[in-house]
Amino acid sequence: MKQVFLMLSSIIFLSSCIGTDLIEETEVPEQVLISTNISSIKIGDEVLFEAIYTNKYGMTENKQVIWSTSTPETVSVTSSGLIRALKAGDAVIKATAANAETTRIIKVSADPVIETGINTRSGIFMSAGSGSYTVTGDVMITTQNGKSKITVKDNFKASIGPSLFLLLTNHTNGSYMVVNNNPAINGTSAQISLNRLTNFQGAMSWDVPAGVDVKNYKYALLYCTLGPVFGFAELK
Amino acid sequence: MKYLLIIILSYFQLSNLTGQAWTKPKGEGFYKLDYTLIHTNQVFDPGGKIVPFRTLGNHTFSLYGERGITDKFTLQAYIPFFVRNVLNETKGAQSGVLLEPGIENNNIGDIDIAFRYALPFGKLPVSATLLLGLPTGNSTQNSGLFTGDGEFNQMLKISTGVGATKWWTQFGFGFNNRTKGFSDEVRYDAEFGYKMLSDKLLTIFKLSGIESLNNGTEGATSTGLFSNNVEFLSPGLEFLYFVKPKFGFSFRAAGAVKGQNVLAAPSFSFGIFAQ
Repeated sequence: MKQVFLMLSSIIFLSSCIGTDLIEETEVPEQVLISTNISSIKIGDEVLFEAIYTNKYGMTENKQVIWSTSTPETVSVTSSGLIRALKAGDAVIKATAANAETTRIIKVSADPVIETGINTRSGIFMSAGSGSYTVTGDVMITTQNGKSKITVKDNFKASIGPSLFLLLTNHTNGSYMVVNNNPAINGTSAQISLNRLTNFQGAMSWDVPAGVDVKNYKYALLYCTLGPVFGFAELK
Repeated sequence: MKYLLIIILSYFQLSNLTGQAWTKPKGEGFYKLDYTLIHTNQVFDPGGKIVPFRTLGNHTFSLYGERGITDKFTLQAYIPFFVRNVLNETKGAQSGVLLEPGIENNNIGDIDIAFRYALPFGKLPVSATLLLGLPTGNSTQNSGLFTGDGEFNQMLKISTGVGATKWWTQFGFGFNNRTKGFSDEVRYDAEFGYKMLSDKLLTIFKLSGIESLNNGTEGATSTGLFSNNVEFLSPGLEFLYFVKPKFGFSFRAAGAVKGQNVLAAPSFSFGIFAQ
């Protein structure tokens, strides 16, 4: 009797602990992402540029970022990423960390710059082949004045899921980081919806969180944090 | 989900009741303390396909009791007084980086109260059961890891059967009316019980199932993966061993051979009972 009790107690104790599921990861190129979404400033202005380094699994790592400028007489940059517009013209700001680098063209003008152009990328959701879970419909990203918005159109429809999030990603294998109320951003994915979706069809839109440069991501994707990728759209 | 676990556990628990075609004689009762475990990383999706799932454990400690108020009227109660749901954390297999933290929800589950009445059908035992599902569980956890569905349901069930000294068989058919936009359900079960080892061992094979009418609203469904439009066909086997004439131990295993919106894993129960 005592042995049975001990055995049952052990089963309950061991199985009731929170364990770990290992998710196979896809290798992606190492990246430096400039998270400050500014590409034009006026003479005399200063802006602190920030950048993050992500490793071959897309995970953020603390690496020293080295800043440089192509034309220091137009735009200067300090070792900490503070840029200063000195005269009208263009300059290329480069951020380097480990084996990765990225550049940003900065336009300097005498007057305040108002960006009136709208950049658009769009795609069509397709299911990822996770059982009966499906996603269909059109998705579009618009960027204006440094701010981006993701919109799904009237024809959007997803299977109902308990913990479904909209992400921007660079692959579709499901190894993403998601945090409630505090979007996770790295080289693999950028979390767009702060909380799990409660509407699953029809037109909706989300503001892209600060620090996410939509150009760095290839797919819009619906991910259930309990397991499967429901579907994705390649953004073109 | 949403949840899911609770729902199928409740079903399995209630399906554990035996001999429901008969009411208890006045003053007699049956009482059971149970621990039920489900541990799985697979789920039946809405189309009935089995898909991978983040590893989830459900642990339910419950009390079940039934007592004959009169010879024709039996009161039943199922009280899952402690439910623990745990969801594994996820880490990158290569990077080792924590992707999502583990989640747990410890709470009371949904309590069921039922009233069983013997209907006058001559020598054939026929009973009608009114079951009330009380939304006492937690249905607001942020990640959908609920211990209850948050709705008050009412089920009317008719059971009948035949039996002799050593064996019995029975069949039940019920309609479950669910509220708050959840789909109504048809529930059914068939059971065969046999006494062995000088009546010390009671072996019960039970087949139970649920068919959803899928007439709920999306709002209800969005609150948890498994609490709505759940369907399954579940065979189960239970052993009750009488250590003493009125006291014993029980073990039960049940699973789903087909299903939708429900975990694709067996449940195991260990209990002690008295009558």
